[in-house]
Amino acid sequence: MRDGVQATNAAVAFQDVSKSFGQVLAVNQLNLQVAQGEFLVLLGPSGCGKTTSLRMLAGLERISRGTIRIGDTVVNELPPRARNVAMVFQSYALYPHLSVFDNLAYPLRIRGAPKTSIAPRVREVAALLQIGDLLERRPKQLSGGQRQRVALGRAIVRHPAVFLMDEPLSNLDAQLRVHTRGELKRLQSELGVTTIYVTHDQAEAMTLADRVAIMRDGLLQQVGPPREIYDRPANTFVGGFLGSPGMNFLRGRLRIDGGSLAWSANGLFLPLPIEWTTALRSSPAFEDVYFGVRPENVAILDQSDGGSLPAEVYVSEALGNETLVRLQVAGQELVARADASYEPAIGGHVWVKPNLARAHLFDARTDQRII
Amino acid sequence: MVGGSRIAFIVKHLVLALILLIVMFPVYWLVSMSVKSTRELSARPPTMIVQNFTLQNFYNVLVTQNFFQYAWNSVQVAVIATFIATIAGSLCAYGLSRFTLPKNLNYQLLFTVLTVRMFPPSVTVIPIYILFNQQILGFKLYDTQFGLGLVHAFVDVPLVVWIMLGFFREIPRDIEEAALVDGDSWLGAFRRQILPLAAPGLAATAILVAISSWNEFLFALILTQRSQTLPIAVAGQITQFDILYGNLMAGGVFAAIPVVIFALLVQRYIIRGLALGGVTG
Repeated sequence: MRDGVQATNAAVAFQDVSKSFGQVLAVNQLNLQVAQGEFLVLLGPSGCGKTTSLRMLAGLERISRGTIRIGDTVVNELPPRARNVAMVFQSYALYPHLSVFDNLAYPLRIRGAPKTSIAPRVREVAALLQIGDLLERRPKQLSGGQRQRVALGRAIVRHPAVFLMDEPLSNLDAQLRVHTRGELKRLQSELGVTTIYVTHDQAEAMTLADRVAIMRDGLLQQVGPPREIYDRPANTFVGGFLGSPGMNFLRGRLRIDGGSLAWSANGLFLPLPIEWTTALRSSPAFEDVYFGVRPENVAILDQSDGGSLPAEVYVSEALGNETLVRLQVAGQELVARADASYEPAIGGHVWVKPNLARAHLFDARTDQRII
Repeated sequence: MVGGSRIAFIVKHLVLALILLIVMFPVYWLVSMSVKSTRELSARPPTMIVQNFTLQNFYNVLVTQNFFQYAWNSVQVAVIATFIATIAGSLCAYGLSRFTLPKNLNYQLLFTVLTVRMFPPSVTVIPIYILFNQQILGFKLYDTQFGLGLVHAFVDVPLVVWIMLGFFREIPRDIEEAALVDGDSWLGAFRRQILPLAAPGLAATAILVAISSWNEFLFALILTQRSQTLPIAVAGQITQFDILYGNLMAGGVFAAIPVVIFALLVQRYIIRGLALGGVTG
């Protein structure tokens, strides 16, 4: 799965990169290119290989196979210090015995920056992150949010070629996380430094990323701008992982009857656009498919309409700004996003009408998207 | 005091006082006997409280027998032992805490290191005596402070490895990885990040090694002659004709003083070190 960015101007390039721990293949043939100044988010459930990929890029983990380039340099055998990357750790990894000032100055001192330039640069970065009044404190005396800023500052201070961030927001409480997320986005666009950001939080991925790369079991599933992978997921995993709740999948089979195409299960029929047959011709997946539609693209109706299916309300969850309605359709579960004022009775009979312009078909044997 | 009635409080303190009495009585006896005259020492029944205070015993061991020379020998041996054991042991512990060797070698090595301590010294002392009497590169290790220090270091390396392993394991890997990414080498990260964080543990183990070397008897007895250490000199007050109780006790007090001062100075670190905590966060 290659993306459109040219290799020549990529800031970072993974080429057929694999990593195995004993028998376990943590990263499997990763091909990924990150453009100069791009904010790329590596997204996936825990154990999918995203952090391992980041650590290989940082030089903290050996590469089993393949090549990693930063700029034009192959960095496979280079120690971390020679790679000119900066990393923000999930735990922040501040140096506990050093003051905030010394934490920020550490990368400069270690690289032999001239003494006179260190203090002004540290103060500049501290001002940027609004931690100027904390410089004398030890990490222990800081709040979680302040520690996070210091960790960020330590990454920024020496103008690295690439920022690596390993779930930097996951130790903050929910409110601070959303706030910091916004600041991080702003900071990155101001600094314009290529950033690779690892998270399992799809909201972070959607809001921060220029492009999202979704991984699962060491395999890259899809790369693209957030909107695109949200709207056109490559497979059922991506569709289900993005969005909360994720995409609905209704298993069934396809019927072509004369000039019409329909999805069917349990004796129910849902007519589909006839244009879809063109795309389906190349795929012999008629017998076993998923009909995929996001909760916000399902309308709940009181009466039958041409393109609707009968459903029973299983439960409804009012979230304040909206109501999630869980329904039983053809013996399968389907979630619909409804207006906050909608209050269906549990067990009530309704009709659901998916927006076919935003619906997809997936091959149930390969889980890949057909339409 | 949280919870517990007044009676519980009293009982607890009575028990503590009793334990303290049992532990401290020999120390009191040592000190009090060291300042008794020869006559009072042989009094029956013994006097619990010193009747005739004298420093004659101290004069005997410090001036007449020049215990300062033995103390100097002990210091040299302890410094050599501490230096070698702490450096070798902590580097070993750091390696074992950070790198996973194949075939469960980490565990095997740790266990092997521990077996060194399982041998009774009386088993190894004769082979070492023979070895130390060999000329190696033109030198003999027998009757040298360096030789004895080396043996003490060997004996105490397992102690250092096991205590320091706990310390190093408590230091999050993220910290040295951050240092590596920030531009440090492995050795630089060890020196600038790990060592300062492990300093309380290092101090505690160094003191334990120093005290153990200072007190060690059997190896010192067999492997030295002129460069005897304090414990041997103290034991030397038991002669084939007489037991010089006064000198024995005065020598004991003299030998114990540095250890007590040392322990008081660094008890904070020892407690912290043995609790294996306090370096994270």
